[in-house]
This record gives sequence, C-alpha cells and structure tokens, in this order.
Amino acid sequence: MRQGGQNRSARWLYGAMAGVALIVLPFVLEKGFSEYYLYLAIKIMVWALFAMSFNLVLGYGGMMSFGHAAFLGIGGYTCSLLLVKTSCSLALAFAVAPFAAAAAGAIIGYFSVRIKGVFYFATITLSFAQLVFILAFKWRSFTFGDDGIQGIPVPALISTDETYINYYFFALIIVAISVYLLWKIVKSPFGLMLRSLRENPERATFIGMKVQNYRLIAFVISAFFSGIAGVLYAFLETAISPDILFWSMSGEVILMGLLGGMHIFLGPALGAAIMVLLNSFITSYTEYWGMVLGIILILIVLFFPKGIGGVMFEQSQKWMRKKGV
Amino acid sequence: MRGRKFLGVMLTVCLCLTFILTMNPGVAVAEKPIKIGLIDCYTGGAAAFTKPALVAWQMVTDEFNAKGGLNGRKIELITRDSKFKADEALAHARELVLKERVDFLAGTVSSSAALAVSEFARKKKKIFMVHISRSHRITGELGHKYIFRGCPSAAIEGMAGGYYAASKPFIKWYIIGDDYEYGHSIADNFWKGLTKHKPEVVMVGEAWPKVKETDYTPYLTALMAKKPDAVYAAFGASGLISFMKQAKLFGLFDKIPVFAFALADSLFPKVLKENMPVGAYAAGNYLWYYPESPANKAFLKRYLEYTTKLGKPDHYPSGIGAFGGFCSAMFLTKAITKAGSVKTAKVIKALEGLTINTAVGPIRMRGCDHQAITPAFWGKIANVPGYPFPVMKDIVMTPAKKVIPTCKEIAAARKAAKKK
Amino acid sequence: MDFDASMLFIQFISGLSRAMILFLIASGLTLVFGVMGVVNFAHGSFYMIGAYMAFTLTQGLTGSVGFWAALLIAPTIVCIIGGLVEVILLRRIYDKEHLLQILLTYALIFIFNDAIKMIWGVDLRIVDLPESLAGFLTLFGHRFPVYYFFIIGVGLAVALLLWLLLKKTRFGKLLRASAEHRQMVDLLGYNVGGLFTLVFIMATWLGGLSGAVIAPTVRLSLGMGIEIIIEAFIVVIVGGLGNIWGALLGALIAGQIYAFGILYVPNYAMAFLFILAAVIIIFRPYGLLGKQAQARG
Repeated sequence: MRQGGQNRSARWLYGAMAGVALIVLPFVLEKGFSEYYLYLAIKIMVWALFAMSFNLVLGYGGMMSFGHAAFLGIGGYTCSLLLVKTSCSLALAFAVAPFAAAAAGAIIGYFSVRIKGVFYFATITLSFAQLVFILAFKWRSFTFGDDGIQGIPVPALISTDETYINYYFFALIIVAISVYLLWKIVKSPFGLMLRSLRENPERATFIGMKVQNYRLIAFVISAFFSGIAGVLYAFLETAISPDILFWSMSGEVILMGLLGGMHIFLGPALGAAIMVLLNSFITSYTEYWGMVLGIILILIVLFFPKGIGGVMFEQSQKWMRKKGV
Repeated sequence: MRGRKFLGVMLTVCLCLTFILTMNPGVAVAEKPIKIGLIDCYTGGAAAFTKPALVAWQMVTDEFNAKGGLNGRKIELITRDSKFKADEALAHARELVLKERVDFLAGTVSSSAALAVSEFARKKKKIFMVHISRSHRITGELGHKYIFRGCPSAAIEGMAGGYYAASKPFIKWYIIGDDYEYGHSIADNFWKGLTKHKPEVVMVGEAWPKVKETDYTPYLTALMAKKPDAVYAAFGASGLISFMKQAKLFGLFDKIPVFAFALADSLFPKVLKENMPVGAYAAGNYLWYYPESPANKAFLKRYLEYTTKLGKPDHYPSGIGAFGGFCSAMFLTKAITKAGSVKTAKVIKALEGLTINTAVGPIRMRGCDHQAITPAFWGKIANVPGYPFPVMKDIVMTPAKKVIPTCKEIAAARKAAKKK
Repeated sequence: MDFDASMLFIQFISGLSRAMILFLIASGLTLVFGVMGVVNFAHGSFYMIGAYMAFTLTQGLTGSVGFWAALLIAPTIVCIIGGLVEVILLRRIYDKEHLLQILLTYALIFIFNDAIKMIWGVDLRIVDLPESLAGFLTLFGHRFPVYYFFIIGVGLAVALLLWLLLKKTRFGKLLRASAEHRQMVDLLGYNVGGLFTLVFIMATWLGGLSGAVIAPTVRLSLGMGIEIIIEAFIVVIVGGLGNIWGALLGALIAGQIYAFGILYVPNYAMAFLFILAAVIIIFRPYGLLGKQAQARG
C-alpha cells in the first residue's frame, strides 16, 4: 500500500516538473537565447507527433510504410489550399485537413494492408505516395506546382511574425491532446490486438481476427494524426512545397522511429528531436553532413539497434530493479 | 508505468542539455561585422553553378573589406546548403535571420527555394538578393519591396531567345525540356517571345521528360520522327548535359537545328568539350570571349587572379554561376556603400535605380520591380580556331529593354496575384 | 495520333535499350536479395562509384584504350570495395530485422555520396565513348545510336551469364540452395559466410559494370546513385524480389511503358513507373515471378 502511494505521488511530482518545464521553456528559449531555438522546439513537437502517429503503423502495427509523407503532406496542403484559395475559416480548414489525410489513408491502406511481403508493402506505399507527390508537383493550376505555396495566412493570435511563443502554446495543446489520444489507442484492446497480430499474424487469423481490418484501422488513425502534424507544419513555416511529399520525407520519419526506438511509445519523439537537432546542427558546421549522419546511423544499427530510446528504457528498467521496485 | 515517466523526464533533461550545448552566444567583436547569409544548393548537379557563384561573392566582399568596408565594418559571408529543397532553404533562412542575426539574405539556385525565402524575407523586412534563380515570378507577380535579383529573369532571357529565333526561318517547332517550373518558365517565355515576333510559327510537338532522367532515347526518336524545322531545349544544367550527349549520338545536330537555352555558359563547354554540339544555337547571360572589351578583359583577369589564389584557377567564368553571383554581390555592396548604412530601408533606396559597371557594360537595377536589366547573348556554336573549345559565332546581344516586361505589366501582375 | 510501323519499331528498340540499362542495375540488387535476403539500398552508390571510376580511367588513358580498360578495371575496383563493405559491415546484420538492414544500407548511401564529393568534387562530368561506338544506325528511316545496341548486348550477356552461373554450375546450385535453406547448406559443411561475401562481390561487380557502361550516356553527378536506386528497386519488386528473370521482365516492361507511354501521354512520364508498381503489386502481391516470403535461417 505504501509503495502504491509512493508510486502515485512520484508520478504527480514528475508530471508537475515536466509541466512546469514545458510552460517555462518557450520564455527561456526566446528571451534567453533566440527565437530560433523556440522555433526548433516547435519543429521537434510537430515531427514528434508525425513520428509517433507513424509509429502506430511501424512499431505497433509492424508495417513498414514508405509513403507516410503523403498523409503529412495531404494534411498540410488541404489546410493551406483552403486558407489560400477560399475564404475558409482557420477552424474549418484545420478540421477538414486531418479527415482528408485519413480518407487518403483509407484508400491507400485498403490496397496496401493486404500486401504481406515487407518490401512489397513498402513499395506499394511508396508508389502511392509518389503519385500524390506527382499530383502536387504537376497540377500547377491547383496546387501551385513545384513553386509551392507561400504566405499561408495564420491568424494574428498564433502568428509567428513577431514571436514564436503564442504558436508554441497552440502547437503544444494540439500535440498534447493528439499524443494523449494516441496513447489511449495504443493501450486500448485495439492496441493490444494490433500488437499481437504484429507478433504473429497467423495465430491472430486462427483466433478469428480480421487481420486486414485492424491494420487498415491503424493506417487510417495514423494518417489522421499525421495530417494534424501536416497542418501544424504548414502553420509553422507559413509555406509548403511538394518536397514534403517526396519519398525522402517518408524515409526520414522511418529514421526517427528507428533512432528513438519504435517499441516504446515516446521513442519516435526522441528520434524526432535527434533528427531535427542533428539536421540544424551539422549543416552549420560541415558540408559533409551526409558522412556524419551516415556514420551515426551505422553506429546506431550496430550498437543501439533498439534505438537510443530503447537503450535508455532498458537502462531505466535496470535502475528501477536495482532500487528494489 | 514508472519507466515511462522516467523516460519522459530523461527526455526533457536531454533536450535541455542539447539546447544548452548548441547555443552559441557569440563572441563580442570590436567592430561588428556586416553579415550576409548566403543560402544555396552545394550538393548535386546545381553545385557546378553555386560554387563559382560563391567564389564571386567572396571576391567582391574581400575587395569591399580590403577597401575598409563600411566605416571599418567588414562583410562576413555565412553560407548554408539547402540541398535543393525549399523547406531546407527556408529553415536556413530562419536560422540565419533569427540566430545568426544576418543583415542581408542571398541565394538561391532553386526557384521554389527563392520564393519560400522571399516570403520570409518580406515578413522579417530583410533584403533578399537573388543571384541565380530564373523564375519570372520571383520579381514578377510574387515580387515585393525586399526582394532584388542581380541576375537575369526567365522573362528576359526566354523572350530574348524568342526574339532571336524569330529572325531565323524556322516555322515548325518542337519543344522539349525538364518537367519542372524552371523548364516550363524558360519554354513559355521563349514561345511568347517567338510568337510575338513571328506569329506564323507552329508547335508540332512537345515533350517533358522528368527531371534527372537518365535515358532520353525514346524522346529523341519521337522528336526526330516529328520532323520539326527546329527544336528548343529547355533543360536545367544536368538534364542539358545528358540530353546533349545522347542527342549527339543520334546525330540530331546534323539533321535539325537545336536552340539550347543557357548552353553558351562556360560550364557546358568545360564539361562537354568535344561533345559540344557544333551547329546548335545557344544562349548565355555572360560570355568570357564577347565582347572583347577592356572591361571584360579586366574582369577575366580579376577573376583568374582570385581563383588562382584559392588554388583552382578558372579562366572561363560561368555566366550563370560566377557572373550572376558577381553582379548580385556588386549591387549589394555598392548599395551599402552608397547608403552609408546597412539599414534595410536605406539600402533598398540605394539599390533602386543603381547601376553597376560590368564586363558586359552597365547594368541597372530597375526600381519598379527590383530586377536587374541584363542583356542576353544568343549565337551559333562553332569551332573557332584559337579557342580551347567550341564557342559561339554571329553573336547577337539583345538588350533587356527590348524584351523585358514593362513596369506597368509587372504592377498589374502583382496586383492580380494579391487578389487571388 | 497515328504512328507508322517504323516509328513503333524504333520506339520498341529504345524501350529495349532502356530496359537493359535498368536490368544492368537491377540485376545486382536482386541477386543480393535472392541469396542473402538483404535489400542493398546502397547498390546505386556502387553504380555511381563505377561511373566515376570510369571517368578517372578514361581521363588517364584516352581514346578506346581508356574506355575498354575502364570497363575492365572499374567494376573490379568497385567489387573490392563491395567485398570490404560486406566483411566489415554487412555480415553483422544478416540476422537482424529488415528495418535495421535497410537503415544500414541507407546510411551507406550518405557515406558514399560524401566520399565521392570529397574525392571528385561537385563538378558535373562526362565520360567519352570510343570512336568505334559513337555513330548511329539508320533503321527504316530512323536513327538509333550504336552505343545503345552495345548496352543491349551487354545486358543480354549479363542475363545469359547469370543464367548459366545459377543453373549450370555447382556454385550456382549452392547459391540457390542457400537462398532456400541457409541452415541446411551450413550444416552440410559449406562456408556460407564466404559464399555470401562472394555473392556480394559479384553483385557489386555488376553494379560497377553498369556504372561504367551507362556512364558515357549521362552526366556524372553526386545524386546519381540515389536517382537510379528507386527505379531499380521498383523494377526488382515488379519482377519479384530475388528472381533474375523477374528483374529482366520487370525491366522490359518498364522500358516499353516509357517508350510508348511518351508517345501517347507525354506529360505524365514521371508517373509511369509508380503506376506500374502499384498495379502489379495489387494484382500480384509478390511481383510477377516472385515467391512467397521465404522462411529465413
């Protein structure tokens, strides 16, 4: 009983600490150092959401989709096009975008989840995503083609023209709610079923599970939250271009999952933070950023195959055991 | 459960540590340098132009600094690699303005990156000097107070091409180019110029291979089967080289006259050497061998001296790369000197209407749209004795005045774009 | 839009040459997967190294001598690098998850790209052809370069050699057996590790050869490897991972789709390959000639 009580009060303490840190952070970063660091922090949040929603398919669903950039991009483009081309309100544009992404997820998922071979699945998702890219690239009259969209109108309250602090809180609330929902989904019976069929799809079929339906639902949910990340991205940059739909973006989010650890819920968030910081850090110091990134990735594969988050998780488990918990 | 919370805390701690480690408070310098943030693509095919452009910027700013700078303040060039991606370019622009606190932005080779950075520069009220991108939209309908372009616009060069081609007897045209905004822009402007001065021309076919295509053979067979009088090639640098190589294997240049945009730039004969298509028509914004004026010779000498100092002597400066970078750097540094300040509003005023003296004559920065009024050179490639590789003959220089969209047209286009 | 028979014929030939270009690159990729179960995303990098090697060799030794020497030497240098990569890095990940294998080879792409940047710099380069192969033939009124017939020849020769190797030699039997039942082959006393190294060397030799052969038709630039790998990967998947004939078939189909596609829908060349991939996988989830996922180990 005493240990339970200790457990709960410890959790409250940690939660409060994290909460305070998150509220104080933007002021410290922008006033203390530079708005640029706050921008990076927001960027990390946005990519963390994308990576965690993607992980529903990769880590929990066991499906290596190489086309998730499509959902990020469809979310971003839908919202941006509505705001730029129509007199849509922000709320409506924001609301519609993830559903557009989810719809795309349903269509692409419908054809993809029945594909069993890992590389074949990767290829079909890649192909669909590239077709979305090509659409955005070539349909110049509708999407502005490879010029992209600039000057996406963001309401003054959350605009980043003067300060990033307002947008930080906006993004923080959206991301926190989304992450909470994702956590609930992962912990739900659905989430458990998803994981069990990742481990052993044959057994799952034997016990009567419609494997494809579960996978498809996971795909659609993942696309939905990726779409939200896309909207947040578009607002942060106030610009969007077809590059966001290109297969290298899908590759980057896979890297985030792997770097951070795809079998831990917050792993991809850590991976996102690492990738954003590495990207912004390395390029200011050397023109051979590829070499540096490549070497880091090889070290991860050889020595930290569970991702950095995975290693940290294992260490924390060991630490807990030592303390006799 | 506990492990997860622990992880959350560890995460926050790690992030904080990383931020602290990456912060660069900067060392206080006696005379604060004037910072220019140069964003460009230094990876892949584009680097063949961006590297010489950077060298030109260094040359101009070194001289500016050697002459004492601005009241002792020297220019510091900070470069960033955009990897040809608009979102990377934008992220770098953000870093340069918000963290490095640059006074001016410059770049880029990619038009989509230029547009993204342009919008950001407008919001942050920083001058953005474009030095290679050609899209007419940059100083056209999407132009604004803070963006300047020291190099030609596709509107000028494409139209000049059309004007030149109209003087030739070819009626049936085939257009082939890289399938992206640049390719379409130089093709559309060319066609506009051609049809304006020779309305009887007819397009018998067009083809748009994907960017970075490795195999143009199905395009070449289809093109030749259409039997056009002439072909217009609207490729970026990489595509142009591959296309020229393969076209030569087909013997295209013996059969059909080809008008290749930008082919006269010194980059191409340096790479293609004997594969340079003799007999083709080509264009460039700067030629190291024409005009044979004292100004041009002086520029060549200066550039050669500087590049020799860097260990890579370059006798044939690239028009798109070195000359574009040179003009843009000259505009900016001269304006800073004229304004006597780095304050954006003052430098804008100094830039508008500013004329620089260059190897091809005086070039003026037009005030109404912030576009440099650059001449275009077209001619026919030939083996001229005394030159290390095939150069152009019968060169026609089209002054921009003849083909550039008027201030009224630009203003109308900008107004229309805002309404959308 | 009507095209006469001669036009259709010449488009067919160009589709064939494009197919052989794709096959040359795809062959190494599918060979490695077929025997070792690893998709080597860095295969494009070996193609790129082969092309740059050919450049340096033809710079040093001019004329025809340079070209033929490059064809011989470039793939050899590349396969030595391949062997080193296999021994030092690749063999550590055979038993790991697919994702980690992908991550490693993906990382190699970045490393090779920058290594080439360090050695050769960023300038665009071209490789020259020997005079004997530089002309064109005129077939039914249409011109077609001799060099592309040479490429077709090399492609067919490679296909034939691979077939002979896999079907007719003992080594080939061992390879096929290892692909099916690695543990069994191991238990029978064969050095499977050494076998894998040899196969990887062969595959990278093919990669280097494809680079040297294709180099004279294109410009060499730093992004070459990445540009080509997605196309090659899709060709391999469409044909069925691990199947050499599948790779050839996939390449032939892709080649002809481009050749005829641009006659009828010239504006959508970008999309052809991906539409092909999506359609094939939907109807044949393991590619045209692919087999069900093999149980590894």
